[in-house]
Amino acid sequence: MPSAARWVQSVAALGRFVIHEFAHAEEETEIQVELALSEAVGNAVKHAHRYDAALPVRVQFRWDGQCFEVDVYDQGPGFDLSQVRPLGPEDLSDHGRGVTIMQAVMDEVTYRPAGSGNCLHLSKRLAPRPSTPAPLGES
Amino acid sequence: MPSQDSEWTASGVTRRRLLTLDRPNQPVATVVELAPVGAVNIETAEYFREMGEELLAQGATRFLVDLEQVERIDSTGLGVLLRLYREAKARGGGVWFYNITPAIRTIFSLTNLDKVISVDASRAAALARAQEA
Repeated sequence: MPSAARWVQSVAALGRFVIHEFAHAEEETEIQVELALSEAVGNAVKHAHRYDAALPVRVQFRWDGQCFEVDVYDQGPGFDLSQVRPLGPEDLSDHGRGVTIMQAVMDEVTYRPAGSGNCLHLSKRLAPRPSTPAPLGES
Repeated sequence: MPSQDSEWTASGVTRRRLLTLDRPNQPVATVVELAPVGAVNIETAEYFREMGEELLAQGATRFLVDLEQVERIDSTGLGVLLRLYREAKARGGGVWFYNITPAIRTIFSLTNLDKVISVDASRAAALARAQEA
């Protein structure tokens, strides 16, 4: 996808569609994961690429039946995820909550160099919503 | 309660109107009521920020924000709401949010902002708090 703000929500919604269709997650989980994805992709567009549409962001989704994984590849200078400190609730700064949101929602958030850029990796194990029992008389 | 409501005017993705509040033993207060529609996120937040800056520059310090029609919000959108909240309070006013949606509730909870920013369940409750402040 191009590094443009208008693409961020579309890609996050696509990720939500994946877990809705394949993981049958609860709606609240879907909302949270979609939010984490918008933060991950938005981070690449806004901070790594500074809205330079010529720099593409590559996003991969994987679902293996138990775990939903996302890789977001950017071509920016990168940052040290371990140095990002969560803001306290009393801190009403404009910025600095994206990583907090991703870490609160997902089981794993890592950021590492990859090729000529970086890869933000997110994963979350999902307990599928109990399926509705088939009506009697059907097998 | 408000003595006068102006009509909603649509401005981009946010509707807004002016309210005039009668307050016992205090000067009449003017409140700007804002109702963002759809998404307040990386795609639209800059517009909301500019609108907030413009209103603050015009002297507005009290805002009611109706969240009912906000379907999506991200950290960028949250940032512009907090900026307005912070700047309004710094000018002696405030921002009173009401009609929270699941999307907003989620992000307030994940960032622990629900512990410091109260959201009223109804417009009447938010108006009452704005009137008392």
